[in-house]
Amino acid sequence: MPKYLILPKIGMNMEEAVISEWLVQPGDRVEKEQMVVRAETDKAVQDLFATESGIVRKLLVKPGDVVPCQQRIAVLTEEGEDCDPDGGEEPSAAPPPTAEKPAAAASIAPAPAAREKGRIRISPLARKMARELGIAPEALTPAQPGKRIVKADVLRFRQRPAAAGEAGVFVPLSRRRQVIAKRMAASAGEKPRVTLSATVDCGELIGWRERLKQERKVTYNELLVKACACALGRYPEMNCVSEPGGHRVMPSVNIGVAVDTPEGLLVPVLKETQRKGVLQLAEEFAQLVEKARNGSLTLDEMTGGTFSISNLGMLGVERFDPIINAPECLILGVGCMKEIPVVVDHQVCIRTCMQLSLAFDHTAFDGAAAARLLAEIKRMLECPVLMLS
Amino acid sequence: MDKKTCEEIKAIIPCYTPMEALPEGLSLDDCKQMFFDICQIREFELKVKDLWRANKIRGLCHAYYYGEAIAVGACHALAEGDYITSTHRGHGHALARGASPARMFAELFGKVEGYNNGKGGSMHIADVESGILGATGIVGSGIAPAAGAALSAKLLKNGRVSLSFFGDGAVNQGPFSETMNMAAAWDLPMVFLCEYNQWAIGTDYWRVTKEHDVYKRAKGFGMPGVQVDGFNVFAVYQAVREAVERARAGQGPTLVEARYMRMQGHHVGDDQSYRSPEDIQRIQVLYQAEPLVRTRTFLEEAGTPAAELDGIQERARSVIQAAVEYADTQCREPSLDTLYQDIYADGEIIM
Amino acid sequence: MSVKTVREALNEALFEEMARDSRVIVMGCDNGVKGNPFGVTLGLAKEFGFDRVIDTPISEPAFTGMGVGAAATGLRPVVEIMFCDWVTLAMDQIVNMAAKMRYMFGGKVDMPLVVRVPIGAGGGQAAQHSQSLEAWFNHVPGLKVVAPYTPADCKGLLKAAIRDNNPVIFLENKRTYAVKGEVPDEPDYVVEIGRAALARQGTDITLVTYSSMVRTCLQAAEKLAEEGVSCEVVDLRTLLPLDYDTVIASVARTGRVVVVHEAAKRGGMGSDIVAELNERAFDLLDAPPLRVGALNIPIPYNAALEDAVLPGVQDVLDAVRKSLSNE
Repeated sequence: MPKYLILPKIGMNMEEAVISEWLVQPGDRVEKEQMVVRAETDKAVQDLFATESGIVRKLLVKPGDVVPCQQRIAVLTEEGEDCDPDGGEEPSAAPPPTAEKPAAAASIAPAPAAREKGRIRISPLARKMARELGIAPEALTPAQPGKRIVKADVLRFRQRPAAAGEAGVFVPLSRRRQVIAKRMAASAGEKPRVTLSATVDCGELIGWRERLKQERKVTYNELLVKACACALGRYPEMNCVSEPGGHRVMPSVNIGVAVDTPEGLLVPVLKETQRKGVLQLAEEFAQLVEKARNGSLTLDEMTGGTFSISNLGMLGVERFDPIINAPECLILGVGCMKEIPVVVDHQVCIRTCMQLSLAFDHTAFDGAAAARLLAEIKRMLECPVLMLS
Repeated sequence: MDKKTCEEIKAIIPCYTPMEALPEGLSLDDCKQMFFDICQIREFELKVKDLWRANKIRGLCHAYYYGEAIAVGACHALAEGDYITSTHRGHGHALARGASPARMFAELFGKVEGYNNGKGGSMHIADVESGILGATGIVGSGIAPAAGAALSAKLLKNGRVSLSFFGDGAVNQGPFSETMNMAAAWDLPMVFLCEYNQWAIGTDYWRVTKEHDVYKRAKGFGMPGVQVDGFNVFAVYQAVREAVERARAGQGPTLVEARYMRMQGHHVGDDQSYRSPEDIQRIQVLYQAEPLVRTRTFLEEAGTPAAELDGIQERARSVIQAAVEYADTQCREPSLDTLYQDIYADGEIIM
Repeated sequence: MSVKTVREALNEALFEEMARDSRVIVMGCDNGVKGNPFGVTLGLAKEFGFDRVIDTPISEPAFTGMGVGAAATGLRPVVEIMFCDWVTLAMDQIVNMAAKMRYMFGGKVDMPLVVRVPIGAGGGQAAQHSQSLEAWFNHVPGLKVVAPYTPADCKGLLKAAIRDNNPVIFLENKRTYAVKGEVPDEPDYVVEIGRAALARQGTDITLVTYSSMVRTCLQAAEKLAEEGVSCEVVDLRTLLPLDYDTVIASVARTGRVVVVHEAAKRGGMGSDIVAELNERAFDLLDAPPLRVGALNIPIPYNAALEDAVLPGVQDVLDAVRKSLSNE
């Protein structure tokens, strides 16, 4: 009897993957757990393992295919066993539940650009020019369909708004943007969200960081992570992720920090932050950022979060309203530090402050609980020594 | 031939020997066959010269005319199955060994029916089925492969003998000495046949060597060396026959130096401007010693009617004429599909 | 300036350098009395005598080795291998001695040796008289490799090669001996080794080439100009050291490149040049760099087959159009 390799689900939110490359070919023997196919999931490019052992007889999906989790991707047999060449195309006894929307990406992106196997065919020169001009490669189209995008296409794109601007330029969603869009829309649509704001006096925090910097490079992100970890330590029941019909309280405080990369938003996750010191967090976070920027984050490094921080302060944003990174229930939006007049002891003085916005999922908890958590975060940041308590 | 002429010839070809009697083992009919072979080579090469000048033949063509006695004498001393390796001046070797002039002209015209399917041309004619391991365009490059053929004959015990034709130019290539040594050391069934025409394109052999006698080199390698009149088909036959008998008897190789003279250009388009008028004048006497004239004279003196000899010459002419017509009108140009054919064995194509 | 053929320019270079420096000697088969089969050494023996213009026996390994020894001990030999195909015989001396002596002897030896190597096919000379083996030399550290096209470059680079203290492999294409061009008359005219030249300026695509294929590329560029395609033709002139500054500057202007040579494509100079451009100029490339070379086949005798094996104007046109097609 033929057996099938199926596309395994390897992340909590993984629904489908785009096949990048087969690592085995028909005729090869594969062992269960051996890496057999490289695929782009909603988080990263991942090598996926075999779900069965046997000899590969036929590959049912090819690079560029969008494949739902649990769908058959290859036919296996045992040594000497014949393979019905059409076996793979027969409907399986129990169709996988996610199979009702195959090839989602293919219908989303009818690929006006020179796409081939899920990548854009663009010359190195055109790619470099587009990067320098701030043009997303996805926005470019070759002069004739199916050709490679070249320098002339970049120049044409740049001159186009002046020449024929009224029609605008259609920019199809990249794979990364599709994932972001789906998750944000789902979160915004499904999670009743309330955002609470508070202003934090950063005087002490700045001093602490200056001192810590003598040990190693430390950013405010790590101090924010540590403050949130400590605050959640006080309210462990809020360290949770939602599940159908309830939410699951998690033992470790795993905090995701949004990172801007050339390809779009990524949220690497710092694990077990409650146990780690700021210097260790700084070191780990620096590595994650590096990996995020060069595209080498593993799925594991992007999943498992229980809380997220989105810091737009370095871009001058004072305050914003973040969308929760489902299935998490909390996200902290961080604004910029700014000197503002404040009243202390009936006197107006200048203090460096920042605004925090804590968005929470009202299905999981109520405003008062979230307010207490935000107050605790504020307290930690205004008096960092408390993080030691 | 008068004494003065004889002296003039000897001044150039010191080992000049008159053709006086049939050598042992040859009948008059054998001699007539030799005469036909000589005529055939002569006619072939004269035709080649015309056709090269008419741009019907490409590349470099090195004519064998006036060397016929060496190829014909040597090949008559070989048996079926014996090997030869040839040189850039190799048309005569192939013809004397029995190659078809028609297929040779087909090759010179670059046609599919040619011995090399049109891919080799003048310098590389190889009728491997007749034991002709091919002509190469690099001076001296056939000597060691001939010894390799002798080695295979020895190890396979098939009784074959290998004969390498090479010129006086080749004896100053390293592989000549290297091969002489190994062939002697291992008693290989081989004959080294030096076609000593005294010129390496425009370089006189005497200007670039101290010892002009090539056969003497044999001594240093421990094999016999003999020098013969290379215009005398009997002398060549006799020397090569003895060498072949030694080789076949397991007594090792022999170096035979066949002295003659390149009477015309290095290739059919060479005007020999580098040769002095005096030198050209000096060698004119050799036209009285050249193999066609001498073999015919011998046969006439042995009682063959002139008409019969004219008939042999006429037959050679018509064979060559028919060969040219065949190559010109009945053979096909190779198709481009054949480009990658035969680079590798067993039909394998590697682009 | 006066108009000369490549043959005359090379001959003049030898005359001038032999007159300038009594240590310069010329040796090879037929170099003296005959003046070599192509007339490049014509008249030298008459002017400088047979001690300095040496007719050798057919002993390539030995006379090339003698060139090495003479170069190491105060002479400046110009050795000729009559056809490139036979340089195989002299390869041991070139590769293991000439190229390495200075280095392995701790820099104590100069090797002012020039090996003239006529390359090139055409005319039905078949498999052993037609090859262009320059890529082999490119692979050997210690050598310089020169492959000029114009008469002026032939003269200037041969003079520079003779004056160079390193072993220089000087490649002349047999089919270009009759090419004519303006040649400077100044006795001290030399062309620096290691500098490419722009044989034609253009904006759309760069053709990188050398030796006989410069002519082919210029002809192709002429045709392409009629179609509105502007080709820049870089005549490398020297293959080792190769002037990548000039090549990359041109690619920076055009974004596209085709390397063209007569030698077989596989493992040829083009492979090396394209690899180097990928490493050094990736971001300048608007299309994959392409190579045009002979098919990987021994040169056949038959005219139609030989034509099919060798690259020509049409092959260059095809490659340029392929590059411009953005396929």
